[in-house]
Formats: sequence, C-alpha cells, structure tokens
Amino acid sequence: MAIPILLNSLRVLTAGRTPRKKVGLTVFVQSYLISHGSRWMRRKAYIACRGVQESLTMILYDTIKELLRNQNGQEALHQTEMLQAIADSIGDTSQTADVTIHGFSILPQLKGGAHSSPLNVVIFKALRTRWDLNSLSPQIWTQGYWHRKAMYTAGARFHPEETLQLIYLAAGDAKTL
Amino acid sequence: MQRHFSQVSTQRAHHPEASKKESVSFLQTGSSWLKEITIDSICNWSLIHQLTTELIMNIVTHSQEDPTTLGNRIRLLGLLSSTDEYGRKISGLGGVEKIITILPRPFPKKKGDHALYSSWTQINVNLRLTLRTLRLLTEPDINLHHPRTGIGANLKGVLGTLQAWGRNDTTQGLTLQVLHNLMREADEAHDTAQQRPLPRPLPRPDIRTGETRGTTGACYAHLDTHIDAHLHSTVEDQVEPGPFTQTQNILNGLKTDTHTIETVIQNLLI
Repeated sequence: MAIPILLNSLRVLTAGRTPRKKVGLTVFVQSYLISHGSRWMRRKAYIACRGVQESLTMILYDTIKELLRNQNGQEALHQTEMLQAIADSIGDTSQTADVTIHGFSILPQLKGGAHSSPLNVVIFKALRTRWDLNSLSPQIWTQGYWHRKAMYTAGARFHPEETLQLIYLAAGDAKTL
Repeated sequence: MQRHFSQVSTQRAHHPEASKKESVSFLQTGSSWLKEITIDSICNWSLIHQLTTELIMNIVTHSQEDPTTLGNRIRLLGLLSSTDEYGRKISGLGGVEKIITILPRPFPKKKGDHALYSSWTQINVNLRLTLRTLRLLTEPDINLHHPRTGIGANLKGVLGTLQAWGRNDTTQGLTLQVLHNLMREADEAHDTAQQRPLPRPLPRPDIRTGETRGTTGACYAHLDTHIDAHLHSTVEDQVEPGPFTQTQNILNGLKTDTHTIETVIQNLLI
C-alpha cells in the first residue's frame, strides 16, 4: 500500500507545474494526510501550497530512504516506474534548492550502474536545467558534485552526454551549448 | 560558469564578500568536476584539453588563494601532460613558464593550528603535483618542437623551490628531476652553439639548510641574467666557469646525493 501511495505522491508533486496547476496535490493532501472535514488544514494547504509541497516532498524523500533499508522496499523502489518518478521529482526545478539537495541524497543509496538508468543523469539534468534558468546556486552545484561522486564510487559511470555537458558547464563555455 | 558569475555578481553587488565566496565555491566545484571526468576516462581528454587547457593555463596563476582549486587544476594539467600530444600542446602554450611562477617560494615556519596545518598539507601535495607536471613537461620528447628561452629564469625559480622546500625527500627528488631536465635543455641548446668540456667540480650546497658553500651561492642570484647569455657565448669569452656551468656542477653533485631518493620515487610511480 505504501509504495503506490509514494509513487502517486511523487507524481503529484512533480512535473514542474506551478502549485496552482497541481490539482492532484489537494486530493492527495485530503486523501492521505488531512482528516476529512478539517477545513483549517485544507485552507492552510491552499494558502501555503508551496510550503506544503516542500514539506511533503522532504518527508517523501525521507520515507524513500527509510524504505531502502528493508528488502521489500529495495525491490519496489527499483522498479523502472518508481525510479523514473524519483528522477522526475528530483529534476523538478519548481522545487527549492534545499529540496533538490535533499533528493540528491537518495541517489547514492539506489542501485544505478546501467547507462539506461534514469538516475544516472538526474543530477546532471537538475544542474543543467537550473543553469538554463539562471538558478544554479553554489550549494546545488557543490552537492550535485559530491552525490554524483558517491554514485560514481558505487559503480554509476558517467554517461557520455553527461560528461560532455559537465565539461561545458565546468569550463564556463555555456554559449557553445 | 562565467555567465553565472556575472549574474551572481549583479545580484550580490552589495555583498562583495558573499559574491567572492560564491565565485570561489563555483570554481572549486568546477575544477573538481573536471578532475573526476579526467580521471574517469582518457576518452574525455581530447574535449577537456580543447575546452579547458588554455582557460586553466590563463587562470592557474590566479587560483593560489584556494589550494583545493589549484590542486585540482594542476592534477588535470599533470594528467594531460602525461601524453606526448597534450604535453606538447601545453608546453607550446608556455605551460612550463606559467607553472614555475606558481611554485611556492617561502616555507611556512610554523604549522600552528589545525586549519593552518591542513592548508600546509594541501600546499605540500600541490607542490608535488606541480613538480610532477613540470617533470613531464620538461621531458625531452615533449619539448622537441618547443625549444624554450629564459632557461635561466626557469632554473632560478626551481632552485628557489629546492632551497625553500627541499627538506622533504620526495619534493627534493622531484625538484632535482625537473632541474635535471631543464639543465639538459640548456645543455642541448649549448651544444648546438659550441662543444666544450666540463670544468672542474665546484663545492656543493647543503640543500637541507638551504645554504650554499663557497662560491656557488652567487650563481643563484644571477642565474636569470647569465645563463641565457652563456648559451650564446663562445669558448674564448669564458675564462672562469659561468653560472650555467656552476649550476650544472651543483646539480651533478645533488643528483649523486639523491640517487636513492629518485630510485624510490620511480619505484613508487610504477
């Protein structure tokens, strides 16, 4: 039961849509996290939608890390669909830098390795997208490096496209991208 | 990163310290990324060389404030220099001369607190990386097509490092290997102008105290002005051995002393 909820939750919270467009979020909050009839909480969720989104995402990331500690969670979280949901969530640039960095910390615990894994390029994509949006902070740049290095140490080699783009980014030659 | 730097600078124009800190952080992480990608696969070297070598060469002299960034960049240059192709290109860009300018001169007298000690350790590691890179870039094969001028200034720079940092066996061995390569360059240049037997050996310096004995100390002070002139002088011009020859003899003596160290280093590198 927990894994499908998790998957749905990440999908609801992800995709770079503005909070107003994330209609599924309200349903999610009402269905799973807020007692029915609690008008005060519903109103708060509407008013501080961004804050709710951030908090929920952080909690979900922590939940994923907890699930990774047991065998059943390991198997469920390594299904392609689930990995893609996690990758999409971390790559969602509408999230704050703190949330993205928190998401990075999940990656070294997941088994990457194969070039086809969506996780292998998620950090690079998150960095590149933020670069394009001029919102790449030193913290994300640095944390992205450390977590990608941890993944590399665990066996996730650099994807050729990832290597190319990272060299361009590090060389500061963004105009040629 | 340059585009982002300008944006960060604009946003934080009223906080220059924060802006500087962010720039240092970006540069440090960028250099770390490049280091990892360089180590990852030799297949990446062509693009890294194409996009970053000249940039790194131009800014390497300005990154001494951050030992981590400097260390990453020197490591990258060292890796690229280990191939003949990129080594020649780096040498052709004036790599030896630029790298010699970042060799540390003064030796820190006190290790002090932990932060200073860490920095001292990093400086020591960087020095070894720098010397290894210089050793690669001064190998005869690398310099076949890039004969250098200003050998006197180069020798003086490396000798200064030997005097200041030669207390460490590894550093001492590496420095001597660089000196040996530079002297060989000078020798080859000299041999094309004239054939001349070596003069009598001169007193050797005590590299552990950084002091020189006898008349050899004078050669350090005037190497930059005399050695290049020596390369173009004639036999008749030189009644007394010039500083170039003196340095060569000092080096020969030092090489004898450090033969064991060099052997150990070479074994470690295999």
